Amino acid sequence: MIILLLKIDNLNVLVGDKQLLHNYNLNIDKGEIHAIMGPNGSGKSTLAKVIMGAEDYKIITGDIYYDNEDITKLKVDERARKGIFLAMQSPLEIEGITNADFLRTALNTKTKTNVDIYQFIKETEDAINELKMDSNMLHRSINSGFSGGERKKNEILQMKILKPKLIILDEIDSGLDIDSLKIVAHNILQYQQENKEVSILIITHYPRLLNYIKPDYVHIMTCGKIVKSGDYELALKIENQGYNNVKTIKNQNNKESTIKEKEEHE
Amino acid sequence: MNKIKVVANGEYQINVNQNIIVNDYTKSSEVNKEWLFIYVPSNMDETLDLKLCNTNTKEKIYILLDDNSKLDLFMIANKQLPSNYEFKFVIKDNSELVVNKFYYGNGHHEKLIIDLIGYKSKVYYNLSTVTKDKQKYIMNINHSNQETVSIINNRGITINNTALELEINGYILKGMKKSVMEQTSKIITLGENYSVIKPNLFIDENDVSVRHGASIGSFQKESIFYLQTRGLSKANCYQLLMQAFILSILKITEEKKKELLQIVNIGGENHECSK
Repeated sequence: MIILLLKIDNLNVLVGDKQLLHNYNLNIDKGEIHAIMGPNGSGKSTLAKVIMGAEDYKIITGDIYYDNEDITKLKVDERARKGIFLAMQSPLEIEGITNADFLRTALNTKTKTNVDIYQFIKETEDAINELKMDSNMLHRSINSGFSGGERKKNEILQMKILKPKLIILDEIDSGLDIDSLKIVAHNILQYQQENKEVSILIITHYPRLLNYIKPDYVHIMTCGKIVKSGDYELALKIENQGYNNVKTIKNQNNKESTIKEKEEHE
Repeated sequence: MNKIKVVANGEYQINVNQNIIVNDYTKSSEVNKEWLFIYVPSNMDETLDLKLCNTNTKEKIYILLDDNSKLDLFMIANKQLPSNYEFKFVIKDNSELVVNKFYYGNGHHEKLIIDLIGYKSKVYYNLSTVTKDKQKYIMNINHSNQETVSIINNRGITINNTALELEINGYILKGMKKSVMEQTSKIITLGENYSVIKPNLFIDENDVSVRHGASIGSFQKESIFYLQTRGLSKANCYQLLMQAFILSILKITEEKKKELLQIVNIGGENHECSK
């Protein structure tokens, strides 16, 4: 049985003439939660966009495998339809396209059918209630006039409707107050509990979100590479000691493992 | 529903109620039989659909709103051949003209004059156009009385490396206090850019409110990426963004929006104006 969902193999990535990811390796098994932490400019969001297939990022060497398929050359939408979902750090406002039309178009495209309108409305309204959102937002333009928190909730609403297998949360906690953070975290966890093989990659500066969605692995990134991996304890130590001392942090639970070690173990 | 369909040069299908009077040239000394003349008497509140189906012609259309009247005008032109239009809208005291206008097609040259001659007269003008060949619009908006309002929104999408030129001249004469003039024009180019926007504001009065904005560019890469991350192909993204861009400024019913979408999505060939 294949348990590996995402494998990033020795990836080197350029934007313009600047290399942002260096010999990058990461394996995520089905059902696992990984967190990537790191200071500003360490390449965390780059990683998210590269997994998603953004065009501005040029892969010079390396491969990305998803569900045992090489997706390195697939387009963004092809990856999305295969079940990769990126919840954006700064979701865009798009005037003139309603959330309902957008969601339904995306769902129709993914399922290659015309989704039953009543089923769609019912499912969407349930998800909106679970996220404690205003139901009128469905008829407003995408993220138009939304607060930062509403935009993040809207990302999770899309996730719940589109039902991905790999969820990348790029700083989903920024702009969320504590109550909204709990709601968002609860919905993500609930989704994963209902879909046991779903994996989550959390990208964050702070361990605040990780208090609610406990990761199986925490990786620290600086300068476009993972410099340390461990478990949830590592995130707490980062909070106390900061990123500057990351190399001196020892993992007391002895769960520290580089990706290569993990691969060797497998 | 009041409807006028321009089917050929000087040939119209007119289906309007008694509150809208067509081609009664005694109602204005300024207009003659060269014009299709639409007159809305005082104290009327009407809607009118004006379909411009003729091609390769010159057409002149004059609309006069008498005192305390309101006209909600929906104009649609779907033309496969070049055309040349001249419009004049004259608005008297306390009257209001709302125009929602959608053009799709090939070469077009249009001259529009809006005369706000009445006290507190208002015009809200929204134009969306999808341009397949060179189009040029010249708009002159004359604030000739106090507390007049003109809100002009233009949106255009150019395809096939074509050019769209928008020249918007707003005039506020001396003494026309508390007038409001706003112009916003945006052009999205899907190929090379040969488009021009000329927003000209000629203001001879201090006690007024004036604003303008103009931009030419392509759809944001980030918007396309965002839509793609939800599984939409690039072609779908462009289609959705085009629809949003041209429809979002038009204040029209869902039924009318569907009609416009049909034109955009299938190229307009099956629309009633193309038959």
